[in-house]
Amino acid sequence: MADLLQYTITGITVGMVYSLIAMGFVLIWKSSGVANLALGQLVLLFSWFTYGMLAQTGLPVWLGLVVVVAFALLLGWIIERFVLRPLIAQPILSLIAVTLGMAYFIEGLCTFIWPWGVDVLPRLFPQDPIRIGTAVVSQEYLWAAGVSLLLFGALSLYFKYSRMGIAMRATADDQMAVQACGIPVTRIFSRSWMFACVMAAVGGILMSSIGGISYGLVETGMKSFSVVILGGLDSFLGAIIAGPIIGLAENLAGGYLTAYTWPGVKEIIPFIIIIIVMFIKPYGLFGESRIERI
Amino acid sequence: MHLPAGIRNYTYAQDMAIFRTKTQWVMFGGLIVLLAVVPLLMGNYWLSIFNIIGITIIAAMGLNLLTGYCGQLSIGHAGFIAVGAYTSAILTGQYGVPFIIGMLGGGLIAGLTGVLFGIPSLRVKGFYLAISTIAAQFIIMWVISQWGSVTGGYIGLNVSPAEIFGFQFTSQLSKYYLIMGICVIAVFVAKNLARTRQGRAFVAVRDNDLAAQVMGISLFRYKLLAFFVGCFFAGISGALLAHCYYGFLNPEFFSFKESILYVGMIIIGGLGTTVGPIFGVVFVRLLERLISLELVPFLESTVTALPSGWASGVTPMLFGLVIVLFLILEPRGVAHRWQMFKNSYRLWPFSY
Amino acid sequence: MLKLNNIEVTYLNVIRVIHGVSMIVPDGQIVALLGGNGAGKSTTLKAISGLLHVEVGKVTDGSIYWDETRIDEKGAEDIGRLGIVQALEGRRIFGHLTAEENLLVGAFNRSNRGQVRDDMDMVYHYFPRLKDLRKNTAGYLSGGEQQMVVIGRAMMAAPKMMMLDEPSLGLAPMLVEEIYEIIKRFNREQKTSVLIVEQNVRVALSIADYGYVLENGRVVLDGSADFLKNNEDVKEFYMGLSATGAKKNYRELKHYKRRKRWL
Ligand SMILES: Nc1ncnc2c1ncn2[C@@H]1O[C@H](COP(=O)(O)OP(=O)(O)OP(=O)(O)O)[C@@H](O)[C@H]1O
Ligand SMILES: [Mg+2]
Repeated sequence: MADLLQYTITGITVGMVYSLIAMGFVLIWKSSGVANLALGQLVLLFSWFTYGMLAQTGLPVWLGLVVVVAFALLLGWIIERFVLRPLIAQPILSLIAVTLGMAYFIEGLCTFIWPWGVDVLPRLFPQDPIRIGTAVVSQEYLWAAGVSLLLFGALSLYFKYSRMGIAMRATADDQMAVQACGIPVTRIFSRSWMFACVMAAVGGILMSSIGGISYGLVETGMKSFSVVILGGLDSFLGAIIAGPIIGLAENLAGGYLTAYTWPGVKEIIPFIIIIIVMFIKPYGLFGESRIERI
Repeated sequence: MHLPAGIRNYTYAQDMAIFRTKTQWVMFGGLIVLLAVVPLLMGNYWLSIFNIIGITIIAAMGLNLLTGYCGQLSIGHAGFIAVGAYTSAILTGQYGVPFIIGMLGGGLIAGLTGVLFGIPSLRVKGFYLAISTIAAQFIIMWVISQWGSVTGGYIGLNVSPAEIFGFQFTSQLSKYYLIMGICVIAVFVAKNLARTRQGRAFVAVRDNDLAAQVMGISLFRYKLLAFFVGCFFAGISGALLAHCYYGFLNPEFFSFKESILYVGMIIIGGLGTTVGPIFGVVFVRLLERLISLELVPFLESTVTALPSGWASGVTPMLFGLVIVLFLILEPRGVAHRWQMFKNSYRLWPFSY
Repeated sequence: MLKLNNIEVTYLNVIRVIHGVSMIVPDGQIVALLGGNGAGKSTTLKAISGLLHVEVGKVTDGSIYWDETRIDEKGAEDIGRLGIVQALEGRRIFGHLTAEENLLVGAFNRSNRGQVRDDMDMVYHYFPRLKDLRKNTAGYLSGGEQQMVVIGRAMMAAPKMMMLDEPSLGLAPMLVEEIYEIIKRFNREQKTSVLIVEQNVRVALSIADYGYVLENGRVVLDGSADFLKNNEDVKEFYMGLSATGAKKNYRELKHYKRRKRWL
């Protein structure tokens, strides 16, 4: 029973971090129709960057985090401006492939700068475990969930009330009509890349503050694909709900199935979920089914 | 299509012919002779590069059929190659099956695996399909690395050299002939398939699958056929990789990055052409060897101030850069340049 | 004042759809652009608003001037900032946004919040019905209400010239009259010039000062609204009235008794 509670709490909290990363994906997809397959690599890059900022330069934590966010914004802008913008109106195959190329590049870049592969972030959150009923949960998980919730809140306010946020939602509905209103859509694309990078950065920091930094983070980022597939590509709500489901499934399977199958079963659950969703409900729980051009 | 000057098609047979002029026959003959003679002059170093190029071309041909002709993007090709490699290795190693059967078995199982993961393609397209092939890659590699009792897991699996009628392909030269033989066959099959009824159906499905369906093309049949054939090629390539290149198998050889590289190769070469993937493979594999065998050791030994291992990041960085630049600057790939060159040659000296 | 000098428009570098159109929209006036399906009306509007490039089209010859500024090479944002706004054909609302948010998107390029608020009230003044519906999701509004949102959104940009592409499309006759009445009032009260594309020639000419008839990418007839209203060809081919003024008998049309005189 204590186990169950433990798995549930861990699963849901980690899942919220997945949601966060996945929302970055949904944001870009909705506003510009680009599928960002470099998600996992971005998560890795930002985690290493944070590590570099904090451990190698000895900056105070808060300043380091400000620098990370600034870097994420800058990188998002650069990616949109120099990689995606030249490809506007190209077939979706090219758009997918270009983010794959980017993924390759970023992973190489990380090896290039931080070749030692595994490390731990300086502690960002207090660590002492907390008892919830019979379960003992490491505080970091709760912090991660808290930060994700905070970011969800901030984002929904932004989308609800800010001029740019409303325009971004409008772009998701009808890009041409937005242009007819004299709104520069390229600015919206770059804004969504910048935000998505910040979300990947925060997600990466949270994940690596729990589990350390390693190339495994790429797969963590990729698990967010299962979140978007399950939730529906174009649904923020879907991403928020699907994240904890994936996290939960993963942790419960890790807890209870390992004894009956192979030890790494936890790692593969999100990918199995992708296949299952593809077979029974390809557009996810909340996605709009639509005819997609390739 | 541009034809050489003075050449006209008078029958459909002529129109379908791959080679039209004497020059083309001579050039083709020359190519075969070249492929047969050149290795005699090469050392093992270059032979092994040629071997990996040949093996990769086979898999790339498959991916090109699937993606370039049929429009079904697969980012899990390395996974399907792994299925072929392990199937063949296990069949020959543990069941004593002859190499040829093992290889075909590898192709068959890889093809069937492809069909299994290709089923979602009947309902979804584009990014959704891309994701499900990524999932396929991870699931396949997970099974291979966990199922240690059969596949050797992370420890790896020793593979016997290829053997046909008692002849063992152990020297690089003999492997070369085996690989090039199969590679030439594969290219021909791919080229021919693209020109047949099936090939045209593939293109129809790629360009607009709804319209294709309305015209009476069975999506079910052709999409899955494309997956089967594409992954069959991958499986054959995997078997050769196991028996004639590595001689040993480890899940790390078939990483997700390798899958991305395959997509990169057909993009660099030019989607939906037969020569494209060949260009792409040669380019990528040569660059890869050059960087990892020459540039990286050189960098590591000259720049010692940095922590060791840094230079191994150079290869993926460069490849990533090349893929991105190609997409931005020459989205139609090298094959397009090649076609333009050929056309201007044919029209020369009036090349406008 | 908007001025088109003999423009040509080509899609995808090969499909030429406008072959030399010249027209003028004087300040403060309503100009109607009429013509059958595929005449090139929407294309002309997109050429003006800079939206052609979205569909890989280009103004390949001629020029477009807004007062002294040449605008045919500018992007949609720059043209929007000059005060030209277009409402696209076919009620392109942002379905997941509320009606009010739709209006706000229209005011994107304006920084003075006070004025935006005032203009919002102005839109509600012209379309009182929208005021009650402002919190509703636009996708669930009725067709007529959606059209109001689209026009209101264009108004929110505080435009100097507003271009409307078939605002009557799919609306009941009563509602069409109502909407046109509002457009007219807006034009008179705010001094905004209006370029209106219509298939419904009668109602368009009822509010317009001047009109152009487009056919196969060419202006075949232009003149004051009164002139066009009384033109036999316009009457017969666009209003469906025969020379005697009676409703046209469609069987007669088959015999091509009358040829369009301008051809
Ligand atoms: N994006 C495009 N690419 C190629 N051709 C186009 C494109 N858009 C329009 N056309 C062609 O240009 C011509 C004019 O189209 P346009 O939309 O301007 O007509 P219209 O006068 O607005 O007609 P309607 O009253 O039906 O809306 C048509 O023949 C159409 O096929
Ligand atoms: Mg139109």
